[in-house]
Amino acid sequence: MDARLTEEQRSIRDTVARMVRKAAVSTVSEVGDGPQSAILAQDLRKAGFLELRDADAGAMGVEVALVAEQLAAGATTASFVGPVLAADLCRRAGIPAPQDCTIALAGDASRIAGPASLEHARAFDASGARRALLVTQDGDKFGLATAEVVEGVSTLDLSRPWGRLGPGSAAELAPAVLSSDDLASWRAFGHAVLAADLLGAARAAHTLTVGYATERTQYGRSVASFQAVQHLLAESLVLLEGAESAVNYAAWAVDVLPHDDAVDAGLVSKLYCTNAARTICEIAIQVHGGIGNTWDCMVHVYLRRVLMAGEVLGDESTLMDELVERRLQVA
Amino acid sequence: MDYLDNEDEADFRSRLRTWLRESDSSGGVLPSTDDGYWAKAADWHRRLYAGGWFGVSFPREYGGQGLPSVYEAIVDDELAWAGAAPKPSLGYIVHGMLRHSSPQTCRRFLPSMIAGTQRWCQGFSEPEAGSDLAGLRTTAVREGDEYVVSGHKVWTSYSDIADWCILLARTDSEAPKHRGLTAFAMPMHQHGVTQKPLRMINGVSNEFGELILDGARIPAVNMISAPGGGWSMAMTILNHERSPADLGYTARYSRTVRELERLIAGAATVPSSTRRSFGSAFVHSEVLRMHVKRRLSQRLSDHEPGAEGAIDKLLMTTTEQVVGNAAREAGLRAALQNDESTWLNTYLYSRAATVMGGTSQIQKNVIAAQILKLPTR
Repeated sequence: MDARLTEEQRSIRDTVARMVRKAAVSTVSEVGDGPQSAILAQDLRKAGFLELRDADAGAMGVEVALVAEQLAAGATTASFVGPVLAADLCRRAGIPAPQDCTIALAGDASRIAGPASLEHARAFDASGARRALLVTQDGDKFGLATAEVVEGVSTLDLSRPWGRLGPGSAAELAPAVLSSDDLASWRAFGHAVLAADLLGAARAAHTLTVGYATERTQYGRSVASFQAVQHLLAESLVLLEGAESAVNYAAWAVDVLPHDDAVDAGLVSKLYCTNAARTICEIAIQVHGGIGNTWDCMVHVYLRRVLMAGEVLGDESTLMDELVERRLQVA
Repeated sequence: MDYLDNEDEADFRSRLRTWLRESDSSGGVLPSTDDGYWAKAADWHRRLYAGGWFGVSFPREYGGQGLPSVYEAIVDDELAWAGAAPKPSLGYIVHGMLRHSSPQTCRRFLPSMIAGTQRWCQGFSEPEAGSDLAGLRTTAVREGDEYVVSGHKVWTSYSDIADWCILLARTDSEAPKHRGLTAFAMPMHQHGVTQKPLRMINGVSNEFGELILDGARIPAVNMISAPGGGWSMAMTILNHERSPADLGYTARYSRTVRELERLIAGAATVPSSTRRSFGSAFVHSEVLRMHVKRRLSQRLSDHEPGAEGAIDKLLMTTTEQVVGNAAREAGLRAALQNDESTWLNTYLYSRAATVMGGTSQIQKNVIAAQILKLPTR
């Protein structure tokens, strides 16, 4: 066992971090699809990061998580999680992923959408996406289809565009070759990657907050010198460390561990990170004080991203019930 | 990054699994749910050691096997999965001596400590020196070839069965409070040492004790830190004592969670809030297990545990209390129906987690000052 990042993994992380810094937004008004995010999208493509889940890429779960974390930290709209999830599912179905394709989510975001009722489904992480992946069912097997992304749709998440799908635009992509276990493995991969996204957003909110609390003075002292504030920031750091350990393990597990263990690791990681990231963002708002409650403070951008990522592929109560059911079955 | 065993690790794991299957490792009760535990714990320690499963990452010359620290995670995982008792929590004293004591001292004390033939307790806290440990008042005064000790130690785990005490005492009352402390190996079986048990809220009276030291004598050669170096040794010990990787507690939590799993699966009706509390216990105990693997791997780069022990301790104590709360919810009914108090005692014991080894508030101070490096003014 050696759970340290390899040199290559560290290099991927640092490369993405550099790209994100170049395209970083620091004010709320800059958040959204703009020239910077187009440049970042191009950088990601050129560096081959969108191909990390292609058929010949090998076991790259950890690398995908590292990229997702860095992108979330930059509150960037450049899409990654959606297209990589689409590519991963296509790989499992044995077909190449279509160009500019993300995934479509059913109305409550808890699962990938089917071809019926496209008007309620949404393309997830849809910046630059032209099509979104759907799952079709034939008995106990599942196939793939795509629908057209016709226009952006605003959600409470300002930093990750979603899209509307063209009614009647569903087109078959692959016949029913996927088993329910394939879908469950794919979903575990999704949980790990979303957990990484949650971690990145929360880490960025925490870093901003430590900076703000250090600069801000009250009673003639830095606000960060007060024990009450220090303890809040320490609590956030503890959650971040736990979240990082959970993300690393789950992102590795999805490529290596037996199916059931990987599914458990994905659930554990997403559940822990959803709660941790929300708590960290709430602490960030509290420590920012009045400013933290204004639209112009970046923290709510991260909180919003965290809230939405927490819903995708199952919210906390759904995932917790699922995890408990699985454990009790084992017992 | 690879959490899987390499060939040697896999071989070690499979031999341990076989040993656990073939020996009587059901291990009975968990610590601090029952006074009977501590008598069995000494036997369990010696059997684990004789089997080659304790002290695996400690140096060979002192009776360990010199394996990388990640092997400790294998031991913890396998003990938990076998439903065995966790390994003895000794790592922190061993690491303290390895770092701060002379080779002669290590040769003298570590082999029997690691083998479990000599038992140790830790005399740090005092009635007037809890969180402010450096304010301790116990004195050790040189008289010829000996030090004579007077003072009062409290919250001394395992003091009732210990042969030796790592004693932190003031040897220089003129020096600044952190610099006047020295660590000794104090023999427990002597007239000047009186041991009194402390009964805890879960009814257990054999884990914690207090020591009245009235003219206890320690040979001068039993000084185990540099003169005035007691604080620095205590900090090493505490950094390890705060680390779930050294304590082996992940095995304890995983085992409790598995027992809860069976309790809930076997119950006719379980309220959904109890099911979710159990789910949280599973999530936290698993995340802690993942975290310990990450931390033990960092030690592969010769990384000496430092202030991040405060982070690990908070993750560990949160887990202990989340697991404790699940035990309370699932166990209260059992307590009503058949006077079964094990679950409730697990919960009651979990309340101490955020106090012992440094309170959560002290850990947060450490994180703020030493890791986040927040300003003091």
